[in-house]
Amino acid sequence: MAKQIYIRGGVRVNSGRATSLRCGRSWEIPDAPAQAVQHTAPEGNRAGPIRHFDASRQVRDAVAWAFADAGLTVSEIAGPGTGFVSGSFYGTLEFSDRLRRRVDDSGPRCMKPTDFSIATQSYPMAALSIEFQCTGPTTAFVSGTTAGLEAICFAQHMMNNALCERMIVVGFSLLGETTRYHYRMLVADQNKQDCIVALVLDTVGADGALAVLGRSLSGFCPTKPVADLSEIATLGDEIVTDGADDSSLVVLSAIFSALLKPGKGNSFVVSSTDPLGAYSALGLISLVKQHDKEIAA
Amino acid sequence: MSPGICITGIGAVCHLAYGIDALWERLMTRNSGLKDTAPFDMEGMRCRRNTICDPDWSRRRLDERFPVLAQRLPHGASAGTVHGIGAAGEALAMAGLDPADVGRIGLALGTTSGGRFDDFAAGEKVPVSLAAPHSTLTCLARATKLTGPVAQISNACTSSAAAILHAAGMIKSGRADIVLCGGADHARRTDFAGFNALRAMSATACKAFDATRDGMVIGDGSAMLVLENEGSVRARGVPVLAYLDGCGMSSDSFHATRPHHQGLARAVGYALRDAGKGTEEIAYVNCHGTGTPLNDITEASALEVHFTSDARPVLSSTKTTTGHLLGSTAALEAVITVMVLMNGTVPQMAHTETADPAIAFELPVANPIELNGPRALSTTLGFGGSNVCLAFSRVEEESADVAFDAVDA
Repeated sequence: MAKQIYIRGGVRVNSGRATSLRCGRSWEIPDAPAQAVQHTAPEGNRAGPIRHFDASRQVRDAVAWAFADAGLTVSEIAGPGTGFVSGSFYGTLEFSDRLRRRVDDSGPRCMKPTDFSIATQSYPMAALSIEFQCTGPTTAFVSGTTAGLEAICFAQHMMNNALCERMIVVGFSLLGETTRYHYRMLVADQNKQDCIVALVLDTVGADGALAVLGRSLSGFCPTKPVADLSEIATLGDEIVTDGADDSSLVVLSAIFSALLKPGKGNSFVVSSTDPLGAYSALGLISLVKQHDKEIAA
Repeated sequence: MSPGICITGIGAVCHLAYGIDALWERLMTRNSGLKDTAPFDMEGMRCRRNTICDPDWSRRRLDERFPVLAQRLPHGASAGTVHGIGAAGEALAMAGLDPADVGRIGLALGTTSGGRFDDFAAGEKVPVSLAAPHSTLTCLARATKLTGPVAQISNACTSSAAAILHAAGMIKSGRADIVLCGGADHARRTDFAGFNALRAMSATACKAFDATRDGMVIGDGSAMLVLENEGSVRARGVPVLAYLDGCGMSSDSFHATRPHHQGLARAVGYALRDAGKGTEEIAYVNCHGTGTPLNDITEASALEVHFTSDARPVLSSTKTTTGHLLGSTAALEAVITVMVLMNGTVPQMAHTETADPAIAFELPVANPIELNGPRALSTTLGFGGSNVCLAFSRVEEESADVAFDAVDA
């Protein structure tokens, strides 16, 4: 059964700055709170320290800030009620390619088991589940430009089916030497910037929620392959361009941008298309800005 | 009719067989076809035993069985893509769809390898588009002229199980009436090096649930299912092979590689709840069963949380015959579970000879076992502590026999 799903908070990290959604704060990364969500070493299950590579650490920090922005405590986060899903174009490919190079250069016996064990696309989400003691679903979408949208759809499905009460949807684009080179060859973009967007979606917390996801998650939008819209999302009648973000983040970033802009009307539709020709008819997400709706009422 | 989502097509490509008929025959004859060679350099690998699907053989079979799809495959596509299109062709044809022009259906794909980024990064001549991590998804959609929503999930060993779960969500939410879902993967030298480094591989064979089990055997390939809502099935008048009654997913929140039984127990509970039924009539569980000492006992412990009475299902791990197909493994095991329900028989496990006495379930060690109930589960565990359980039930109608014969494209 479809549930009312709220956006409780979130954070966007790009150009060396972190911007929180609810509180509207923005700070330089070095000045950002080191641990916005304080937690002690948990009792119970966790076995051993959590290892991180660069991308997973950055994602972890962003999610911690998002939790703080949403006003969630450690005890509220922990348990079966919270899950994590990511959407990304390249994901963690840069780290796994580092392992490939090591094997190619020095032979298979140079592979460190601890490195291989975390070289999966879903590890940043798994690391979050381990660190914050969350036993809800975790997964990673690597669907090109549809990744962010599919991640939101997955999150909604998980909550509608009561597999969790809350999903943190993370879009990230953290490129390294090899992925940046590939991206430049793919879309001739020389100015690609790294970006992370983390949104806290919840089935509770209507009070103070920033927005409501439309109940009918998505409809079909049968399309023919369209012109390259890799950096564009449409918000209602308004086309939003955000060239600094990875195309897979366009949807998440567009939602973030729209929610930061007051007075833009109390409902909008987000859509996106896949310019790489997957002939994909994507879903539409209808968002209602809670704040504006209350003002209008 | 069961309220579950209908399964109207299945397809598989792996080292054992091209197509489900041949796959079933190899499972029933316990012919695992293990080998020690691979398409990449094995120098320095401690364990080399594998079930990697020969990419050239797969491509020749694709050319024979689905020539239109083969022509649309871009030159230089990954082995996983070649396997995937073959499995997709079979599943779509079985579902009464034209594999060369499926139209407005969805696609949910699970994979750990994706495109050929590894080769691109190593300096090989790979088209830029085919190096993109979602190129398998794109190639599959283009070859079949699929115009519905598409998604690619990379969730380690649970990738294709999560894809099936996401496909079910697409149908339940109304995003699609029909969804092609499953997994397509190719094993890479890095994967082999990694599992060797973890000491998780066996130098001889996967002997899941055996008292002397000592590790897994890695392979690759593809398996696909066509999921469909009941209204679409009635409208199209196609036979149903089985039902996907429920899905469950959870995380262990424990360790990067070591499983914890409570996580899988939760996922099983969610699947049962989603199916709206208890453990009654569950006759079979196709386990993840990698053959590592820790995985198999953990999985059995998780199942004991739910199956507390004397009426317990038969457990088996078909990885003893097929190997571990990485991101595709869950989809292949889902396909096999459907075939078990259709055929009413659990194939005898290959290589497992002495059941671990700590496993308190019946195992098909000496002989195949006839099913004594209409329901089955398929469980998958993955790195990072991901767990997925899929619940299936058989069709209690004559149409099940009609659908089992593979339909030529």
